[in-house]
Formats: sequence, structure tokens, C-alpha cells
Amino acid sequence: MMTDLHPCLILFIAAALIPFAGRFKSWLVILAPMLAFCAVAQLSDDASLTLSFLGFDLDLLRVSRLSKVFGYIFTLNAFLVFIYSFYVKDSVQHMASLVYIGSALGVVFAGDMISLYFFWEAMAVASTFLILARRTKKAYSASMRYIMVHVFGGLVLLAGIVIHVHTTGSTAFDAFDPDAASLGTWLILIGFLVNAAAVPFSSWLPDAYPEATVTGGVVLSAYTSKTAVYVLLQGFAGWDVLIGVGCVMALYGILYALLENDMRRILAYSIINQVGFMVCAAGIGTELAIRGAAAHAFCHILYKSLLWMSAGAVLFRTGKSKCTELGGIYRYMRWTFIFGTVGALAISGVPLTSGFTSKTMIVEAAVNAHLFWPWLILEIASAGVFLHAGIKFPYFVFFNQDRGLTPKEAPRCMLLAMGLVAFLCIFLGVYPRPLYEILPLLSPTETAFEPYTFSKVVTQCQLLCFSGLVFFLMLPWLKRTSTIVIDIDWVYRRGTQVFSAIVAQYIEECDRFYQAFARGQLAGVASEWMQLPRSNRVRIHRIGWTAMIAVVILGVLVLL
Amino acid sequence: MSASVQKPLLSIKTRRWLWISLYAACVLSLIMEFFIPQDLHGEHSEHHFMVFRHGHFEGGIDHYAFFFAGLGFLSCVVAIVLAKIVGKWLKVREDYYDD
Repeated sequence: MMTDLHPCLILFIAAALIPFAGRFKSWLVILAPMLAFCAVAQLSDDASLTLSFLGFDLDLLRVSRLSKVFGYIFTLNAFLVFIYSFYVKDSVQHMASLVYIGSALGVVFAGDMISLYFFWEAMAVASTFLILARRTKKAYSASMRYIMVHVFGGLVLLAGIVIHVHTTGSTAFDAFDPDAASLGTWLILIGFLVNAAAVPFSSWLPDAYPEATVTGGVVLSAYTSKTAVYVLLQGFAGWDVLIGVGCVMALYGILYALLENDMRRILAYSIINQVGFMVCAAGIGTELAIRGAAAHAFCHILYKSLLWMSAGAVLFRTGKSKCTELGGIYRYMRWTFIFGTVGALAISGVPLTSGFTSKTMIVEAAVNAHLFWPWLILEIASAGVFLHAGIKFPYFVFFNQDRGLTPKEAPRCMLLAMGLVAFLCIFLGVYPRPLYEILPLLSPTETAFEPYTFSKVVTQCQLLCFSGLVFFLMLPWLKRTSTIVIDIDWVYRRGTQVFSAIVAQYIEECDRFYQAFARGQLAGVASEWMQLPRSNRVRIHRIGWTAMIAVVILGVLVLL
Repeated sequence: MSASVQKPLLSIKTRRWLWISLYAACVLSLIMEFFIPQDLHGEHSEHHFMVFRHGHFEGGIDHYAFFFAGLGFLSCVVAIVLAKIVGKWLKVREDYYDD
């Protein structure tokens, strides 16, 4: 009976029931992901759910080992996050979370691009409510920027899908051949990369996630970028360009995380860094790389949730999220500190944590594919992760200076959720076999991956010990300042202001010229023009030329 | 801020122990490298200076002793210095976008 039940339906039904659940809503949201997890487990490879839409056959349920890995972790993480947010009574947040997670499940089980696009956009809309639910002016502005970026990404994706369907006649979402890349496939790839927060489409993530609610941040950290990783693994495995994109993401995330002051923004940048590993693995495209990316996505969702949970607990209790305002609270929030540290060790890939058993698989895939530079960058990025997320986050939040804060320990529901996730992070580090069992299969010719070789453990320990040493030796260089960091979002936050000012000035000049012309005073305008200082004339000329070029380009595009 | 800001969180004794532990962990990780089981026979039988184990890449730099320690140390130093330099341009006051 359960075989063909789409897991997302359970979450959508639960979302619809929330307004009627009264005081049982917190239990309902915990129960729904449990049922969805069971539904994922019951799915057989030949399960299907088809619909007809505008003459297209939609394949809503395509099951593979890869999609099931993501299905398992999405539902498991949802279960843990809803335990964490047991105290939340806000129906909007619960409904938005359920629709968001349900849509993410819709994406990973979508067999055609039309249903994929539908769920893709539903994710964008639902997740926006998790930011809006903070109900602050900053959150409102951030959510508007967030939805605009995702609308842009969605439109690029839609354009790609339309071109692809028009040229090939197929709506199926299968692997795209890099040798037969067309405009359509490139646009689809860009649409996916926007959600993966790939540079230069990356700044929406650290802009929006830290403005979300305490629990919203935890939910958001797991799904959008990881569904993007899934679609890249499914559709674009082996595309060389992704190796470069992934490496840039890994390094960019480190640099910006080092510059940041807000603890949740540091964690947001480390998402980009970690997704960089997975995107790089998608680019490598070998069986081991795909397994590594799936395993890393699984482990990453857990330890990243744990980090966001511990940061959320600190924010919940202190109302502060800046490193310059936090410090010395390890004495008051001991369990939050311990669980946060487990997450920090796991993201750093310390042996006996889940980060080690998954990240080393990607690194080994780069070695087996003889990719020296990507391998070196991934190793450098591993060292950098320990620096900014492994030590910087717990040190500046829980230690550093005594700021006179005396917060209470996190609520019990938060501690329970963090404890469970911390257990999973260590369990999968000590005994990764259950995770390896559910990953996509390796061909019999491929050698099995073994994480715990003496050589791997020693070299990783060297890398991490010396990274830690540098952190403490150079601590004065890492002193936090009450600043924010300019990222690519400057283009649409400030750049648009500059652009609109230029356009407004141009229109004003045109208007003046036209009115003078209408009054027959052109000679007067010309003489006035000549009397302007030369710099002004040059500026106005430049504006005119820019506008002219823009019009010509647009005209050519329209004609094409 | 109150006077408590200046109060050190950890005693000098504790801090000293933490530093010793950190250095000890670093030294231990270096020493452990000598115990990595290796097979430097066959095509790699020729002895090279400071090469104790196999690297991942033919002719690569990763087979030198303490490569990963050096990589971790250097890359973190470079990252911090680079962040310091670009921070001069990229860090702005918190109300930068509020104007």
C-alpha cells in the first residue's frame, strides 16, 4: 500500500492540517516527517506516480538509490528539526517548513523537468516565509532580496527547460551530456547553480539565512543548497566546469567566513564552502565521487543542522548573534557548547566524526581521477574549514571574553534535538557502514572505499593540528570588529541605487532638452551645454553612450 | 562594558596546559607519520630526501615528509593574512546598507 505513496504528500497534508491541530501542532510536525521517512524507506525502484499536464506526462516519482539517500536525510533532518522547534507555536513557520521540506522531496523524486520546476519554485516561496516570520524590518528586506534572486534563478531554469524541451522534445530529467551542451542545458545548469549558492550567485545565502527565525535558520540550512547538489549529481555529473565552480566556492566560503562577525553568517558561508566540495565531486563525476557527494550531503545536513541549532539556541537565550557581543557563555550553556563543538569537529572532518568518513571519499575521488589542483584546493579548504567553523565559531561564541552574559541553558526540546544529532554525527564517524550501504552502488571493478587507514588519519590529524595552531598563534589577527562584509549582493543592494541615480539623471537631462526643444529654445540649451564644466559634459556624454549601447544590445536580442 | 570584560576566562595555569596540549598534539601528529605502513619498493625504491611515504600523485609534492602539516599551517596563515588584507576594502560599518 505504502509503495507508491509520494513522501511529499504526507508533509503537504500535515501542513494543511496545522491550522486545525490546535495544541497538538508540535506533535503533528514531528509525526509527519517520521511517516515520510517510512514512506521513503518503502519506495521501490519501480515506484511511479504519473500525471498528465498540458499534454506532457509528469513523472512525479522516480526512485533511485541517489534520490533515496536525499529522501532519507531530508525526512530524518526534518524530524530532528521539529523536535528542536517543539516550543514554536507559530503556525506560519510550521506550515512553511513542511511545504518547503515537502517540495524539496518533490524535487529529489521528480523524474521530469516540469514537476521539478514546480517543486523548485514552491521551495523558494515557502522558504521565504521562514525569513519573513522573524517579523523584523531587516528580515523583510532580506526576504525580498531572497525571493528576487530565486525568481531570477527560477526564470533562468524555466528558460533552459523550455529551450531544452523545444529542441529535444523530451521533458525527462536525465543526465545531460557535456559534449552535447546547448543553450538550454547551460541555462538549466545556471538555474541549478543559483540554488547551490555558487559564486557569483552566492550572496543570497549569507544575506537571507541569518535573518531567518531561530528555527527557520536550521530548516533553511539543509534543503535549498542540497536539492541543488542532488540535481547537479543527477543531471550534470562529470561536467568539468563544476570542478572549478566547486573549488572557487570552497575557497570563497573560507575567506568570507573569516571576515564575518555574525555567528550565523559565519555558518552560512561555511555552507557555501561545504557545498563547494559536493559541487566539485559532481564535476569529477566518477562513481566514487557521486557516492562521496551523496554521503557528504547526508553528513553535512546533520552537522550543519547541529551548528545552526547551537547558534540558534545562543540567539534564543541571549538575543545576540555577533561575535563582538558574545563570549564567555560556555559556563552557562554547557550542553549547547558541547553539542556545538561536536558539530564544529564534524564539519572540520576530525577522525571519528561524520565529516571525516564522508569528506575523505570526495578527496579520494579527486586523487583517483588524477586531479592534482582540485585535490590540493580541497585539502586547503579542509584546513580552512577547521579554522573558521571548527574553532572560530565555538571560540568566539562560547569563550573569547567574558561579556557579562549569564544566559540560561537552552530549552529541553533544543537540547534533545542537538543531543540526537550530535550522536548521529559521532555514530556515522565511528561506524559509517549503514550510510555506505544506502549510497549509489559501485561497479564491481571499482575498489571499495575505506576511510580509516592509518595514513588518512595521520595526514588529516596533521592538517588539523597545524591549522588549529595557526588559529591560536594568529589570534590577534582574527580579532572581531563590528562590521559587515561587502559581498556580491552589493550589486543589487547598492549597485542598483547607483544605476537608478544615473538613469534618473539621464532622464532629467533628456526631459530638459526635450522641453527646451519644444519651446524652440534649442540654441539656448546648446549654449548652456557649452557653458557646463567639461567634467559634467563628459559625464552626460557617457550616460548617453551607455544608454545607447544598452538599447542596441536589447534591440539585437529582441530581433534574435 | 563592565570590568568583567577584562577578567580572563581561563586561569594562566589552564591556558598554559592548553598550549602544551596543542603543541604536543602537533608533535605527535608529526611523529605518527613515521609509522605509516609503506611500500617504497618497485618503481619508488630509489631513496629521496625527506620522502617517507607514498604520495597520491606521480611526481607530486605530497609525498614529502610532513606535507600535510605544512599545508595546514601555510594555507591557514595565507588565509588569515589574505582576509586581513581584503578586509580593509570589504569590511564596512554595520549600517552601510541602511543609508
